[in-house]
Amino acid sequence: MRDLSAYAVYSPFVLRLGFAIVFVWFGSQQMANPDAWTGFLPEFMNGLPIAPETFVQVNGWTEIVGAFLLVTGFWLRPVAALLALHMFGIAFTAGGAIGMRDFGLGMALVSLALAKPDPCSLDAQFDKQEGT
Amino acid sequence: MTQRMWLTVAVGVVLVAGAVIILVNGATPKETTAQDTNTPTETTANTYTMAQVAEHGDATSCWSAINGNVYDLTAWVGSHPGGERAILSLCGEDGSASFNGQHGSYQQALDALATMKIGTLAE
Repeated sequence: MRDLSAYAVYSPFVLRLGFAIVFVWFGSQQMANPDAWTGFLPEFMNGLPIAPETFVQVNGWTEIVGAFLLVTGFWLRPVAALLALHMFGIAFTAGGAIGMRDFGLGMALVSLALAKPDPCSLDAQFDKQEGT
Repeated sequence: MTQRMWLTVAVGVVLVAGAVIILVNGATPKETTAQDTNTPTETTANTYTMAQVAEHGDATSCWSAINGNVYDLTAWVGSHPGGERAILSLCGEDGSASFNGQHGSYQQALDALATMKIGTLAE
């Protein structure tokens, strides 16, 4: 089998790109059709001073910005950590097959948060510039 | 300020500005009508047989019997967060086992389902 180890350096970028696509899709769906997503809000959100649909849209926007940060690798570790917590929250709320899937995604984000910024990331570029 | 700081500020401004725009405009909540609530009305008092439910077995008209009630899931096919296949598999069928297995007693799912009730299942 052909040796793919030369491409290993791109592995984190591929993972970040995949996550970015997922978050852009879900974020845009939430912004375009918030009604369909209010069912996923935890019950304690009913007491919020803003409409559930508005909260869903703000969440969607945050996911889109998070996707941009992931794919560019900027503030990669904290963004990945926050998105991992977000996925664990959804997994806990949704339960079932959806919850299990989102738990898996959360664990992959934890892996990203634990890893050093890869050479393809902005963080690595800035670290190099700043000599850190 | 370093390039990293400038970019951080820029991203922060974009994030906050977007959130503020959304909050100021606000989403229009779906208007509820008597048909949307679980209050018995002339429509929700309708009784259907499984044979009638089976006549609505595709995406153009998708009915399902769940836990003794009949629901029109047509509008939900394209909106279901878990994908349309999960809903299409219930069209024209008794979807109780699938729904209960996936959503159990999750109140938010029950509330969403209640808005699509069109009647009860005849015994």
